[in-house]
Amino acid sequence: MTLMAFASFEIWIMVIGALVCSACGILGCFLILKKLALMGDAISHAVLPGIVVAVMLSGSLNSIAIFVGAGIIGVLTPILVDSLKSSRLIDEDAAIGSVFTFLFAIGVIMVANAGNIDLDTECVLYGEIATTPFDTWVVGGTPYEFDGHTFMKGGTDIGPKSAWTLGIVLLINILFIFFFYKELKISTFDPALALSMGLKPKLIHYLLMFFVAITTIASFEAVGAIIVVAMFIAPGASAYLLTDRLSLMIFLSGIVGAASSVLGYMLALALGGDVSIAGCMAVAAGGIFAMCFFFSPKYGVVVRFARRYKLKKRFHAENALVNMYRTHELGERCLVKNYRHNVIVRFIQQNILTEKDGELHLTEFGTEKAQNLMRAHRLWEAYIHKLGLPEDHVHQPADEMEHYLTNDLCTEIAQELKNPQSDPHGKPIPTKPAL
Amino acid sequence: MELLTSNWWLFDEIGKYFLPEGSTRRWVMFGAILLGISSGVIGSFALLRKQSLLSDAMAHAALPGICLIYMLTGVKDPLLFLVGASITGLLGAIIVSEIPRHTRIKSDTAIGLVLSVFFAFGIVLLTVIQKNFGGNQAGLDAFLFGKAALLVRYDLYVIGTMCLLLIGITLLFYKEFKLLTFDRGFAITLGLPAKKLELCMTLLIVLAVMVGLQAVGVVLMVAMLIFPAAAARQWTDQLGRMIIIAAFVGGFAGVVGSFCSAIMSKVPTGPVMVVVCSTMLIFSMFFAPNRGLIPKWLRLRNNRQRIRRENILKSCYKTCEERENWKVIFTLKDFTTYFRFSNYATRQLLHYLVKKQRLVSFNGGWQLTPQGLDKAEQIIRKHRLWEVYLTEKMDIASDHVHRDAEDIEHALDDKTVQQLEEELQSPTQDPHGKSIPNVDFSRERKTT
Repeated sequence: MTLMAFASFEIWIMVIGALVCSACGILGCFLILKKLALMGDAISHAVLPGIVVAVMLSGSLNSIAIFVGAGIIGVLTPILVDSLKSSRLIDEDAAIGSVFTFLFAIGVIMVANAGNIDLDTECVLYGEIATTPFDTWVVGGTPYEFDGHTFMKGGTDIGPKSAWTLGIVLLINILFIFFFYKELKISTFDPALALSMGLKPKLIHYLLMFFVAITTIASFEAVGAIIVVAMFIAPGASAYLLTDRLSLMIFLSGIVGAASSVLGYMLALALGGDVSIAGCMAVAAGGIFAMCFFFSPKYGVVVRFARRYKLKKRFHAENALVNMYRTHELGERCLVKNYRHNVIVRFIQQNILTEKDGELHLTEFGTEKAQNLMRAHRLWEAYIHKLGLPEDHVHQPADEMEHYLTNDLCTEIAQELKNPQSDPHGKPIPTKPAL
Repeated sequence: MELLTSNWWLFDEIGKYFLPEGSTRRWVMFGAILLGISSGVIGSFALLRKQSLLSDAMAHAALPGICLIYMLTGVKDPLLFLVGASITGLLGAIIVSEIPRHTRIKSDTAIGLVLSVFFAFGIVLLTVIQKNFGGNQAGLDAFLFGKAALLVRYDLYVIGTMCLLLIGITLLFYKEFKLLTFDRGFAITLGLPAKKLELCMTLLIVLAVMVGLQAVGVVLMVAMLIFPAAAARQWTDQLGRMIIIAAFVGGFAGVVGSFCSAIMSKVPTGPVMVVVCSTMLIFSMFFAPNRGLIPKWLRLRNNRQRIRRENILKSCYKTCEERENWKVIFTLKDFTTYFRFSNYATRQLLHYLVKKQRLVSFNGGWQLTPQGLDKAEQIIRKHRLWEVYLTEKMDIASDHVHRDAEDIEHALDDKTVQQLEEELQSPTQDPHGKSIPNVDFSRERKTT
């Protein structure tokens, strides 16, 4: 095998993986938003009897019959779940769970009994993406028999069959989303509105399920029954944490899908190359989700924690500053030992404080800052006192509001109160600093 | 019953033939029954707490645990597998509950995510094992479909002990679990450690799933948690009874499943158990007395028939009242044109009324009997009293009250009617000027 051929086979694996991930991922966005993520799981299990029957009838794994069988099951599963749910005898999660496990059990019994059919259960469950590039599609060749199998002689090799199938499925999914974008969007976010607009949300729902089933089947050979669930959910869930716009979310899920395919293959190579590549791709997709979970700029756990921490730090500093201002106002000495060391150091760095003989003095800049905060605090006290709160109840809310009130807002409140000179407790309100 | 006892020896012989003493089959049957019972018990709580699909996630999350423990120890011991599987299963359960808490991702997405990613990781590990441990992965992947028929006695010891342990713990904390399932807030105010108990319940589900994995496999274990509990739910509203019924359903499925796979060569135990359970669920959904679809439909139908019969009597009464003749004879055509029922349906209704002696057949027509008149009077009374009530007490215009009274006349009971009458000080006329039949009126009518 030449280096060139080896490289192209690797690229084909990544391309096929990327096709699976993005075809599943873009549909997965709607599953996630419609809270139907587990329907994807259910369909991918429930298609087993569909496949078995299709294989029994047609005799091969690569046929259009499988797509028909899967399509039927794909629509049947949500219909069964919905009818179980609407009987109000079982809850939704139990309904999903009972439908797919029942169909799966039937499928397992069928597999066990139909010994002579050519159904590789390992392939259905785990997928064999590593071998897919070798099953190529040759056009214009002449068929010949060898060892009971049909091969093609001559002709042009136009790439792996599964790349073609998955490419077509991806294209169909993109077209479906493109042409039904408005319908999908409205029936996802507001089914009642969709119904009142005459957009047929039920039909759209079952169409979506149909395409989910078709995509599941197309992905089976490459990634297997359970890993395909990761491909449906992980890219969409990652994209959901990155953006609030549906169109961008769909686009990002496609990107995340392709990225997890490439990263997954790298991971497989790092583990020695002889491991389940599809599994690695799903693990990579999970890894990308974990990254988004922690570090997404908007919703990431770590990022949100950091934002909260920063805010808390600001509040602490501002509280210390107000405290110092009050001490000076009372004519008392502001001592170093009363404040935390790091606060003082930071204030001196920021030219807010000067320190002399264990005593702290506010600089001109510091005084101005403190006056702003004090003004916000006391204006707010005056304001809510005017609203009717007794004067011994106004301090606490003002203590919180002082951090949020901007200068403009303070000016407006002052105007509303006709420029008061003192707060309800008789303390002077610092005037607006001259700018 | 007599047939059963007289033929008992036959069943005994069959039992002895297929399940000879000391054979693996007998052990498998014991295992399957215990498994069915414990999954019924634990599943009841999982179902009521809407955690059915969480168990799915945990079952899949067990695969990497099993692989890791095998890679670490190199031994295929069911007890060790159980430990490894429980660790990753519990980890998966915790992640499922943490993701929706910190982001806007919903729990169903979290379940799907954990399920598939953990499982994929497990498959990667499985292939690593295949490569590095001399292809000796058999027994690990049987976990997907289960291998009930291949269980050895040691496996069954583990399964049996665990099942008894699970049932024991559930019984021990029954009261706490019950309270937590139905009223978490109240449980907390009583000082129960809700978080710890919930973790304990999750752990029980994890263990139940892990025990079942060896016998029936991932997907079907989830089914065993859902089906018996869901079937039992249809028969009762009481938790205690539900658990007992669920245990019975699970155990029965165990018997049938192991029996089928013992007498038929190509039928795996696990899937048969699931099919038996699901059949029982379907049966329960249709025939359970209170919640079942068929009893519900029958009740609705009976009610509709009763309302139709009452309407027939009422219309007869009204016609008689209008003509001031209590012996009017009605033809079938009168009814069909008035009510727009089919001929057949009308005949059915009339037949029933004749049987109950409300009507009497007379010259090819029907006439009200004294009892029928009494009955009709009662309905008319309810109707017209309600009309008075609505106009006088609720200030509703008199031309808007008829439709409402038309519905309520079939639902009011005697006590309410009495109260209405007292409240309204025994009115004699409805808002439209028609007289309200009462005892005096009825006597007057009967004498004429």
